[in-house]
Amino acid sequence: MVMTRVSPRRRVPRMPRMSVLTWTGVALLVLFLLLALVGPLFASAPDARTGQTLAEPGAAHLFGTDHLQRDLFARTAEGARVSLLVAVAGVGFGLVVAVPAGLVAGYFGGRWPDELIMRTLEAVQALPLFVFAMFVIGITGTGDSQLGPVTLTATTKVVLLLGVGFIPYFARVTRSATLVEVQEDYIDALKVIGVPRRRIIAGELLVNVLPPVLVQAFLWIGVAIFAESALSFLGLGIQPPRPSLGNILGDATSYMLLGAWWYSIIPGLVILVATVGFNLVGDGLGDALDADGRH
Amino acid sequence: MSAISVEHLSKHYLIRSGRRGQDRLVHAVDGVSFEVPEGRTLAIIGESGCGKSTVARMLVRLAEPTAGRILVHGREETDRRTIQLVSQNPWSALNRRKTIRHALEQPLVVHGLHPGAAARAARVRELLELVGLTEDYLDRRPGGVSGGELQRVTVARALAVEPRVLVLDEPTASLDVSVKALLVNLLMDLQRRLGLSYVLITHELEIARHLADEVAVMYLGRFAETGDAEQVFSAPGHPYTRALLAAVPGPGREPAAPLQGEVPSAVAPPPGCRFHTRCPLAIDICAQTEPELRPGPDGRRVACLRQDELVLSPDPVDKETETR
Amino acid sequence: MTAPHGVPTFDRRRFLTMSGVLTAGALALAACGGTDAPKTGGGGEAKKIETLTFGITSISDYLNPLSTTSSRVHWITDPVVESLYTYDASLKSVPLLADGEPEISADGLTWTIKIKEGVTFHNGDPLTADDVVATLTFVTDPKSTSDWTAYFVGYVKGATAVDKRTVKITLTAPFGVLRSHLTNLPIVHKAFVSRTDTTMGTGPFKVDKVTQGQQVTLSRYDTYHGAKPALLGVVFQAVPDPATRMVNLREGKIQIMTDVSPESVGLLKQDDRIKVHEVAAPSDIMTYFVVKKAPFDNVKVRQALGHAMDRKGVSDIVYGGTASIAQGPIGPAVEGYDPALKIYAETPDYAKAKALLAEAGMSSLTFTLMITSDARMKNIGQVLVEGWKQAGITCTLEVLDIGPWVKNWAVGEYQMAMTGFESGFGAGRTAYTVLGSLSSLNPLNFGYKNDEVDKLLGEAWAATDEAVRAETCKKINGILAADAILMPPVHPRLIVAQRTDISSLDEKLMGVSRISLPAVRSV
Repeated sequence: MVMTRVSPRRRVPRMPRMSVLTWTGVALLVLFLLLALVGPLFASAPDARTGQTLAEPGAAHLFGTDHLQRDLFARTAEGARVSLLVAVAGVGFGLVVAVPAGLVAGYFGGRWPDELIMRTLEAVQALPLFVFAMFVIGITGTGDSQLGPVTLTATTKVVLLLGVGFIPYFARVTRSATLVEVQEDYIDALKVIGVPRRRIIAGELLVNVLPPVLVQAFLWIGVAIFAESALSFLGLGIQPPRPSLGNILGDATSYMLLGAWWYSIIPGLVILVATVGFNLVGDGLGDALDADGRH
Repeated sequence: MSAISVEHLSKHYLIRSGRRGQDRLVHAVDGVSFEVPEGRTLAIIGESGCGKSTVARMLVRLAEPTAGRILVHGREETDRRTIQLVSQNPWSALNRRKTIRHALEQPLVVHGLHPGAAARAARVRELLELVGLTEDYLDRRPGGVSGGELQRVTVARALAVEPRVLVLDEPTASLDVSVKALLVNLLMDLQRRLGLSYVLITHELEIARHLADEVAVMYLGRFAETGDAEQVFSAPGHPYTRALLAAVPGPGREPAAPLQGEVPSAVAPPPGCRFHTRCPLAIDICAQTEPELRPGPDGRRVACLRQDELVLSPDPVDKETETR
Repeated sequence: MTAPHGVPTFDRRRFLTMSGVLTAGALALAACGGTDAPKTGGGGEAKKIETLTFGITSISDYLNPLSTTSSRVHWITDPVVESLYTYDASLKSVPLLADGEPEISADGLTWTIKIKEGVTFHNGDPLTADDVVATLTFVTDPKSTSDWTAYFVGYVKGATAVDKRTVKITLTAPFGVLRSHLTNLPIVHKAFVSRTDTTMGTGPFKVDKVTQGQQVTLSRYDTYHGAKPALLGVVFQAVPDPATRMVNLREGKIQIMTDVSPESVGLLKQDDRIKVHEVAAPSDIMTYFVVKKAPFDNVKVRQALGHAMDRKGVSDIVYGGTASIAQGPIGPAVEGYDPALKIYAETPDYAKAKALLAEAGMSSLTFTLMITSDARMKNIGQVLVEGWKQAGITCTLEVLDIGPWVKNWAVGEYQMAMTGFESGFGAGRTAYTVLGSLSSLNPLNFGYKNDEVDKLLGEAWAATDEAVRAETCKKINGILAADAILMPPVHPRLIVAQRTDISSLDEKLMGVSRISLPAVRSV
């Protein structure tokens, strides 16, 4: 029996060059993350009173102050952090529900579990996220709600609503990727070996299906930030005094015509930077993934 | 007792049509029977679409037979482990994101073999040794391993659950010419050492010649000819077998002209002998009566109405001359 | 970017574009917005204004002055309907639709009122005692769900028309404050008492056209029994956004504006085409505690809260310094105001608060404050929360729309609740609305029982002499302030802005929440 030496490794395909657009996205994202994650550490307390109402941006207050004499930089930084956390949590919740659903649907592609899951998702998707969110919050109110023994805070409700809105999209992506992956021979091979179905789906399929799903999730964080901001802007999302980019903007509109331009432009700009940043970087990731290919 | 024995195995697929009464039945495999003794190899050869891969899938229970039985050591085996599969494309047959160590340990974990991390690790080393690979392969992923070596990994994986029968579905088809031989040698070696029975599905006649003890020639879901490998290969009995073999270049022989006619669809097999539409020796009766596999004088079985007439010679018989 | 992942990338692109458009829009708006210096002097055309436009926050769908005491409805109906009595220039109650003073029986249980002759409704029907009786019956019927019932139920047994010009009101107990109530209660045509789409009165203006939720047009009633107004008509226009209201006022699209946000007062004062009235009026920040449950069952806890309340913060930050610091529930425009009362400091006394909490056996306090969702209350809430933090008091805001807020308030589903309310149209100068909930018999009183207060309240409402009533209310105010049971942080002022091309509004009448239009003319 001839013992074979280790043959030279095959080259792993190199990552494609990142386009200018992706670099722009990275820059924007870095700015946003610095504000959201590092900002709150260095800023003053977001609720503290500074003694100046609606002060213009300047040396003392980088972003000026708001109508309740609070430092706008501190509030925007904390608001960015809150918006980011809520967005990530919402996307996370969506993934936790959607990925297993998509995996099962894709694994059983064409058979009844697939049909059942896809019809349910279609029903969920039929209702626009916004209308649904307004409906739920209209019924349960903007404060805490009791769901049996559990108390849902306003923040929790937003996270859940965002997550539910994302489930159909994530599930579809997962399902598509699963449908393709399931055609690989190793799925059959594992069945022949006797690996239980559960283990094949969760242990083997998942790890191959996750990368495109995670890229999508990344993209949707940007969308989630935007959606949460819109909800909070209307007063349906994060409640005061807890800041979020959206509710700061909502307060700011009353003072726009009084000349407090910084109050509305700055949070609006931050939302834009975040949304576009996540979008561009997510696209770049997606391109890299495609180029990387299967083998 | 044979290691594996198959009786009247059939697989029919229903193709649903939108219109009522237009549903059609695909006869992928139609009443196939064979036996493989312990430690021996049966090769099933034929063109693509003849149904041999479907037979393989039924053997490893990836597909449910429409009719027929599969017996291992005389019993209808329910344990998955007894019949394992080695398939064509090793890169597809292994999870590209998992290490080879994982691929080899997983069957042990799933079936509770060699429990304990240390025992499993030892067994995995053993398996690698069996197929002639060193330990440094363990932490690698399929992407960085060459085809021949990777196919050995799939063989090792199949052996992990200690099967009695290996179904090899085109095991060398994806490999370079230089590497095919290595794998064939390994397979033969393993058969000797472990007493495995092989069912080899292939379209590569040279490989079949090397490995097979018995051969079954499949056409459109049925066996056209079965028998001892040497006999069938040197002096084919069925017109189809002759045509198949003649199409392959041999020592000092040019490949002959390909068969005339098209492969009929498996949805509506031709009446009578399924091969009659392309058979150079077909006569009227061939279109009416379906021939059964009948044993010939030398132990071979051929399904041809004109079997007795045909002179057993390595050359194909021209339709014009009919007989020699 | 294709969609190999099966996601409609169109959605994301749309969000991106939308956010870009929104930001560009905001930038553009801000750029052409308020950084301009206010222009001085008008365009020059002294156009005579014959129809006044009044910019108001919103227009209720129910235009019945008998179903509510809210200023939102009454600012519109005030020129259309009249009461038996009215306020003169010094806010004294004088007869209007009544003919002379009422005749009160010796035991105080029967009031006989004569109706003035020659008064007609806008549809030509003469005013009779039947209309008065119909009005009174409606507002004393507990099933009518009117705000007004609180003013009469329990005291008024019934009203009857003795003849076409005489009304007799029978009471269960002496009810001197009834005079005030009858100075505020508008008399509506008997066929219109329960109608919500429009109303029919005897006032100098009649309802012309109602566009539900958007606009109400009044026109002059030429056969009015009193002095004819100079204006031909009034249009009430709903302008929900305060910034837009302000722009409309400065541009002359409206001549009067209510709900002026304190932040814009400074800007408006700089414009010499605009006059800003800041008047002490019965606009209150109503505070409520559920006293029968912890933590507010302990008076020391409430007092600690009171001492730690940042009154100055609210006045400075939310009201731009225009509100006055409150001690008890009665403010400067209400009978019984005690300017000498000084239990609580302007700025929080954290030491005292902590000491009081310690006496109550607590090292810290955590509770929920339920407020309505209007911007003013949200700001007050946030300032108070921040102020209380420093005393180790953690307050969580529960912000609800008015509907759910009222629902919870009515059944006591809260710990502390706050909302804004104008009581001038219901209570006039009296403290009736403000103190009413403190009677232990009141179903909206969740656990507060003070026998002294109950006794004094009975006396206050029975008194016919205003001075006596005021003095009694002063005493009640002191007790309640010390008990820390009604705890507004400040008494806000009524801020109304008008253009200088109309005559100046009567500030005295603003002291009872009235914005009096009949006297207005172009200048």
